[in-house]
Amino acid sequence: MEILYATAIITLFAVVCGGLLGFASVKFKVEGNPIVEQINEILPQTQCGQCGHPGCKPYAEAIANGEAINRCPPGGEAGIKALAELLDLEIIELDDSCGEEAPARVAVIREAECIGCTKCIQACPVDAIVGAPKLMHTVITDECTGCDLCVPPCPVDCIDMPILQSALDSWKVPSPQVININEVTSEPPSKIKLEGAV
Amino acid sequence: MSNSHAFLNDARPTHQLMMLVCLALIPGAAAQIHFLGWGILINLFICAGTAILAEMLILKLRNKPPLETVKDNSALLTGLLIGLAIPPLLPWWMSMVGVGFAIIIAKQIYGGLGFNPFNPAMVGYVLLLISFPVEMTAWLPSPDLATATPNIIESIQIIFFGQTSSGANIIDYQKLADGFTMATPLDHSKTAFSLGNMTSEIFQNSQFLKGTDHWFWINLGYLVGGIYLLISRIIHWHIPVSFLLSIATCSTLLFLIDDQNYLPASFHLFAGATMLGAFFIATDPVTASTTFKGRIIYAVLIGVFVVVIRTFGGYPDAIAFAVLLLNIATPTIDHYTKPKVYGEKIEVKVYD
Amino acid sequence: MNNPMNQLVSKSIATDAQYRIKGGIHPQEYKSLSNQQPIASIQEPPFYILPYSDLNKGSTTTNLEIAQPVEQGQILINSELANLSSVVHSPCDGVIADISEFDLGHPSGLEQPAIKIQAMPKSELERSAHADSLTDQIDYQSLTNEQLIKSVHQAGIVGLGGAGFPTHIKLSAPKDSIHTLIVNAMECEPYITCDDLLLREHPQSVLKGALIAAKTVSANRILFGIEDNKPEAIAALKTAIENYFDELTSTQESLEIKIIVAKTKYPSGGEKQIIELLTGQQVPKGQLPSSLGILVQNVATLEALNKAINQRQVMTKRLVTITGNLVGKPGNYWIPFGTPVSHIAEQLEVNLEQLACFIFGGPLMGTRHSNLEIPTKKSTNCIIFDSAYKTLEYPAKHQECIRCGECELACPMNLVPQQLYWFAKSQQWEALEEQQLFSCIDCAACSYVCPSEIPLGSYYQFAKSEIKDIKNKQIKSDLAKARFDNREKRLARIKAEREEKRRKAAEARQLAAANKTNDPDGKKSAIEAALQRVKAKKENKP
Repeated sequence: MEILYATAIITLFAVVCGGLLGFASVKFKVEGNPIVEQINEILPQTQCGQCGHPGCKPYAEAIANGEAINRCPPGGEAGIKALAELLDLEIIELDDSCGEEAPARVAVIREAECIGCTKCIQACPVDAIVGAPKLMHTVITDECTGCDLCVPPCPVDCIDMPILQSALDSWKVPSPQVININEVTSEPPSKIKLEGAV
Repeated sequence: MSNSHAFLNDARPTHQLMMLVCLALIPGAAAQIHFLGWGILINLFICAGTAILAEMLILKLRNKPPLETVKDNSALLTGLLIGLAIPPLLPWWMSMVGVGFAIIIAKQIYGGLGFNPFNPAMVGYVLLLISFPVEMTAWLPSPDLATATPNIIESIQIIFFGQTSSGANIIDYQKLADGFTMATPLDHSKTAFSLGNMTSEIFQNSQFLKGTDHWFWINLGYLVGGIYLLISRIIHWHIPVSFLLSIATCSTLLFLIDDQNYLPASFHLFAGATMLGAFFIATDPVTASTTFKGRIIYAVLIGVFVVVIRTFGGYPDAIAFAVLLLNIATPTIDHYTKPKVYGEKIEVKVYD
Repeated sequence: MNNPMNQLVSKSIATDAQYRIKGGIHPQEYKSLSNQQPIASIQEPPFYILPYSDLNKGSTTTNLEIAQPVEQGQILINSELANLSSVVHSPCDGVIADISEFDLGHPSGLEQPAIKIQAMPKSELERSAHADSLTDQIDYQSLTNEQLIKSVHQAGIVGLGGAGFPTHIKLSAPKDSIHTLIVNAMECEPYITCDDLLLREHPQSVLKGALIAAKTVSANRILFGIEDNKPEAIAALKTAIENYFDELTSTQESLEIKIIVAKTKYPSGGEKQIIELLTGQQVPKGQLPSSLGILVQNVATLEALNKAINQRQVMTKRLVTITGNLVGKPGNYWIPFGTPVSHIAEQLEVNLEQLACFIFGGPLMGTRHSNLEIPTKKSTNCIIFDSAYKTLEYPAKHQECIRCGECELACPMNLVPQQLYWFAKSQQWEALEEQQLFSCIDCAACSYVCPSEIPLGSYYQFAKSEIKDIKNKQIKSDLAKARFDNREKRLARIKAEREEKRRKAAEARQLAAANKTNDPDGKKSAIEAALQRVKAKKENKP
């Protein structure tokens, strides 16, 4: 007999909780999917399309729907790690088919060759190219994300993509954990030759 | 690389620290062997040996070089602490189970030295206490009280075979002159209270008094070792002093409220594993609180728990449980006791 | 001379420090290796290497070409007054041998741009006005602040205590914002004794420099902070100050000048630490000492400042401690900037056979190097050649942290290095900021006391570098996102406008089509239009 009472009470409790949850899911419903915005914050916003989507926001939406998080080369390892932490997924390696993690580049227009066609201006996703039809075009270096989208449309192929920072400027202190022990030894450094006259 | 940030280190290395702590156990251990028999010494060997072997085994399984980590002497210390906490004639395989569990599960599975959240020695002890309650509470009386005391050969025989060559087993050695079996003073007082006795009656029992005296000397031995550790700056004063003051305060408060149903501070401070806990167990740096302010709170709370469990709880000695309970609390204590950094106003975020 | 005020003042010139710093360590000092000998000089090297890697901070080279002759004291690299870079002068007469990349000892091991000058002594006759000391004394009191600051800038003076911050910027504090000048003579790191010797032999020069600096910022108090392991320097300084007070005429205002002697402890010479030791105040987080009205300068910087103002000498050399058990002639030497270490090693008889690596700076905060060809810089205050330092890098394997808390006891900034280590290892950047990682002054006292020999300082440098990088990337990506969103809006707006136009045009067409049905050949509307015109004409006629 007691077991019937116990079952009944627990069932009633479950029904009440279920009702409360259902009510909350309707009354406190959030428009849109906030996770997409959070994912988008992590993505580097180069809008380059290497992930296969036309921009970072579409890729963020795709990730929210289950797409792999390792398709963004500009975000690199750090980006994958941040996404994995946000979404509680495993950290996986960057998908090679999308590209490689490479040092940041910027676009530079060789102005002597520019014909003023505005095709690159229309292609730039962050409006980092200044110019007008039949007038000089130039890239605002500080605004350029290095996405490469301006290079294909240029009919005279006058856009270069040099690396933004020298190795020295982009050098970061390495983690002590991954330094390979350089077996330095009791051998003295090599003797130098004092240079002679000029 | 041909250039690197300079580095200079002049600290006593970890393995030396651990070894000195092991050595500081000697006075207390000697007293314990004297009063409780050769079994303690044998247990120390069994436990220390098991600890080192268990660590080597698990390191092999983890694909790490076995000897390298054993060299830091922390496994040895864990083994010795368990060896001192368990009763003298505990069967050998029980000791091994306890030590093995402590090293493999409570320490290495978490990542090894420095990664474990719980004190491994106490985890091993509690495992044994809960799994084998009878054997773990089978303490022996000291030679001047017992009808018979096992010598070293007989101790070995009981530990390994359960009985001596003449057929005697542990119960025979637990008997006192008047036929009653002996328990530790803490045990005895708990039973007496539950039977309705008053404190003054308990203190009139000569066996109780003798037992208390013996345990006083054992605790004094650990106190001497602990003071050595303090003087040579191997441990810091925060935990031992706070712990002992806390025990003294709580038990005195209870004693003042009702001196017939509670025991005085002078008893608590030198009974059971109080001094061992104060200087060797609660001071385990890996599992204690990180900040020094936090350590004081940590030790005070352990003291409170010890008195509470001893007085109101189900087990006679409470060091192990109190320490483990506070090990759970250390992250929170750390969060709320962050020191005020140079140039900063204090502003602690609520822990979420 | 027997002014009772002077006597009162000189009695209290040197006092013990009232305050303490938290933490700190007491490493072995090794000062006697190099403080038993007087200051000396060495022969000039055959060539110098001067970096111009401050280019990204705004320096400009002054049209240099290879094989161009230069004179001692000539400006090679100029910089604007407001920039964080300093003016660099040629330390010798010679020619420019090369302008390219050299190994200058950067922690990455990469080469950096520098100028190489081949020394060629000129005869006295050919020396021109660029050259250093003019012997006429100038009374600094007659110069305005702007002139003083400009002179300091043009002399290329930067902080010689180790960080190399341009001194003229520190002296450009707003008027009346600084009331105390603290002179940092602590020199707390082991081995280094250059400030000690400088005070012993040139205390008046240091004092004069301090007075000039105090005048520039209108400070009314000068505090000399020094450790108690330098009794000779304290005595020399005391005498110099007493002489200064003795020579003051009654019409001159005098500042309060005190020497505060602190117990020897590392790192009491850090800027934040010396302020706490001498005044009991702490610099608020994220702010400069000027927010407390305090300016801190190193003794060597002030000595150079004095030479610049009173003797018109540009700064081309500094005192460097050359020490260690492998040095044949240890001591303190005037070394021009850009001197290759190999030359110093040869001149001072360093035993290269037993040398594994040498240290620039001290054994705690310096850097270890193996390439003898790198040059000294303005910030190089010491070179250690000692057989005790056998490896270039800390061992890659170390024991695990046992959470003993010694590091917390040693930290002068009251941080919890243990937690910083665990979070840096597991790369939890937000937790690190919560633990105030950026308050760490990189003193390495924590790694000195660690029983597990963990290179704590290196973990923190790694973490700081990573966090800065992440922040920069985040700023860039936020900017890109903003621009992208704006572009989307712009395109959407253009599209909407086009739509609007189309819609209006469509409506107009429809309206016209509707009118046409009522009025198939347009007669009605033509008549209407004509009637309207007649009406309008009528109204317009007077």
